Amino acid sequence: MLTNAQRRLLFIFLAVCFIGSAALSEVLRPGHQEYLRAARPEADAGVREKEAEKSVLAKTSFQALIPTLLGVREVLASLMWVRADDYFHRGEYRPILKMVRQITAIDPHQLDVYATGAWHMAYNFMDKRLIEDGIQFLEEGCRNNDSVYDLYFELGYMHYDKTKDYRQAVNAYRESSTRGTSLPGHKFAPAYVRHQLAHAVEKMGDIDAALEQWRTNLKLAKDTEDLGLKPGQAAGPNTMAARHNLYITERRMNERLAASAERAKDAAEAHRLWQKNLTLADEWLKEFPGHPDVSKDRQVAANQVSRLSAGKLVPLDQTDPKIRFTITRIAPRKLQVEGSIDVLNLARIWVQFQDKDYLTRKARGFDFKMNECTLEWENVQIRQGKFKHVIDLDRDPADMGRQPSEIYPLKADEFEVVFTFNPRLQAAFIQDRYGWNGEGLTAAPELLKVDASRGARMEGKEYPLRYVEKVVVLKRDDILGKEKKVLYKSE
Amino acid sequence: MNTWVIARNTFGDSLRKRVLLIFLLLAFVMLTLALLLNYFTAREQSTIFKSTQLTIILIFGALISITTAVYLIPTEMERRTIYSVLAKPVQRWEFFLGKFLGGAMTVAFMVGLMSVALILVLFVLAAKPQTSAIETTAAAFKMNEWLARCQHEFLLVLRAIIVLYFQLFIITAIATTLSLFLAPTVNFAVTALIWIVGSFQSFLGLSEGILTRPLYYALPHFHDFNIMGSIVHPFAGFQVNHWAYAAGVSLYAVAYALVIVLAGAAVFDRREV
Repeated sequence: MLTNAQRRLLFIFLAVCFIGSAALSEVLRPGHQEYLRAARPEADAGVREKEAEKSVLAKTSFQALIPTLLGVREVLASLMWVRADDYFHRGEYRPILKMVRQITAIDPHQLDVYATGAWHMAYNFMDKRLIEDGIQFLEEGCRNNDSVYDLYFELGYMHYDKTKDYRQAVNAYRESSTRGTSLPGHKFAPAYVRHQLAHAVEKMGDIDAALEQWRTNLKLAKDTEDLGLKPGQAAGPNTMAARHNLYITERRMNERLAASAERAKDAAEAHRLWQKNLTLADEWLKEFPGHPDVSKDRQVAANQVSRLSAGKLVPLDQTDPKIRFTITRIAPRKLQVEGSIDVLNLARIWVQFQDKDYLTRKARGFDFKMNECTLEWENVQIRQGKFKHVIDLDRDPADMGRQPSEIYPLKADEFEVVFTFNPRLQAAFIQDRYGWNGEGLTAAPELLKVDASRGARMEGKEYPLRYVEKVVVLKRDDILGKEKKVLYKSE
Repeated sequence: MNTWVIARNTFGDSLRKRVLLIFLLLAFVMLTLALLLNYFTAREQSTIFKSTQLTIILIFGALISITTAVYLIPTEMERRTIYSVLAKPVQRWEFFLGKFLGGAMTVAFMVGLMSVALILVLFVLAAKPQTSAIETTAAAFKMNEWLARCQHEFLLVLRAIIVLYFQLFIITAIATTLSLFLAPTVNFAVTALIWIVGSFQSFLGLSEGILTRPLYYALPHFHDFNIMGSIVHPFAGFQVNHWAYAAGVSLYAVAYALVIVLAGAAVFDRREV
């Protein structure tokens, strides 16, 4: 047994340990708060205020609370993700939408849940109204995981591929290219992020900035090659791709500006631009003698320089695509659009069907949007100057067993069918003909849209975006009627 | 010296208990189940694997530590072996401390075994290219990158396991001391309850009120041991010196466990056996 003196000592030591543990817990408190803060979704911090998201999250409060309290939020989120993946493999997409929101509310650092969840919303449901929800979901993921490139890259790609909003794509890719990675030992975003950025800048029409980006990409690629990394990989230096794209972008810019100069009957300017291409090809061939494609380019440029030196101008007129079409109701909820357009083969015309005041209506909240608003589009291919497409509002586009009225409620009084020929949305060889910014396009004043807010730059000069658009307004009865009927025919 | 001998014998006795081996076996089965998640990307697989496996180790570790500790003293009394030990020149506090340390060593051994399995599986997973779909096509296995990933994962798991173990260290101390007053089944429930309340603390706001503040310091701060987010998502921008925090929380565990164990030793010293 301990003596009284030993017991006194024991109790003193015990008290010291207790005070020490209390003091340590205070010292640890800021660290603990930081772990909590970093694990907290920004949505909880009041950033996500939209009614739509509130209504979804309101159903998840219990699930979000439990793991927070027990400190196993990451494992619960992981197990829910395994479950969501199981739904996906069984073709049951619908529960996934809610689950991905629940998972990211519980653990806001699940990068793959954000990426895959947004992909489900924007792609797999095949409900165009949900694309903006996929975008917002990714934006939330970016805010919650601001230090890594991954979700900014996904966001950029969604704008690039799905919404075709290249300005937003550029913003997202630019953010992505400045972030680190989630992988150990990888401090910088992989090369393909910067390559996508350059492509998006080009699609946006700002060719000066695109060229600058390709130059930066090439320099970075060479620098990383110097560090001993193997070239030719999407994530690595990828020097050849950067060099090739820099050459192509510069060559095409000169060609397009030369065409504009010829249209303006400015022979000296056209000559200067073709001469630039000749020099460009020569420089390339110095480094890669006998390169077949560049040799052909050089020959084309040399021929043009000779022609222009001889004073032979061949100014091409701007092209009027002369859109003509008919809209026919072929069955209730089925509209056939058929028409002609004088543009290059394999170009595409954007056909969009929506509530007449879709933007105002959908702003009333997620539930209203899903119950009351209609949106559908297709980028229809043009073959031999003709196009044909059925806007089928009487089906579930993803074959998920949904009623057509769930996807296409058709509750507005009036609807719009919008036909757009936009050079920004065309393949490169089509853009070569009509210009990145539609410089080579013309049309009747009521159809030709000139939008300076989406304009771009080439050789320091500003160009507004020119595109051709025709809008037809239809009544709800026009769409729901039973017998076949021509609803609109171009004059 | 006596304490060390008792601790060593307790450790040996504990390892012979079938119930602990069953827990260990179950934990191993669950660890290997994670390999079935092969259809996920490397990053998803790593996230899911680490979070589930660390939770399994925590839960089974807690079960092992409570099950070991609640029987440490009562079994000695029940079998009356305590009398023969105390008849020798062994102080009661040495006996109590030895029992506790033996229990803590048992938990350390079990957690160590589970951790080795976890780390081995993580090394296997690290061989899968940790890249996005775009990069995967071009990525080949590179020994130096694999070793770097293994080292990264090892350090992460090591930090997690250290913090996790010291959480179990406190649980062992509580269960050992409570075994002086409570029957094993009741002790099991009470220790588990303290563990849960200790994990809830920062959310219950115990540190805010004047009346609840003493309770806040008296109860163990298990919530401070929750660093899972930084292990599973190391990229997530935690503004913490992780190793300093792990050292701090481990020191806290030692200090708190000492308070509990010394209080237990003081009680045991004067107690009729």
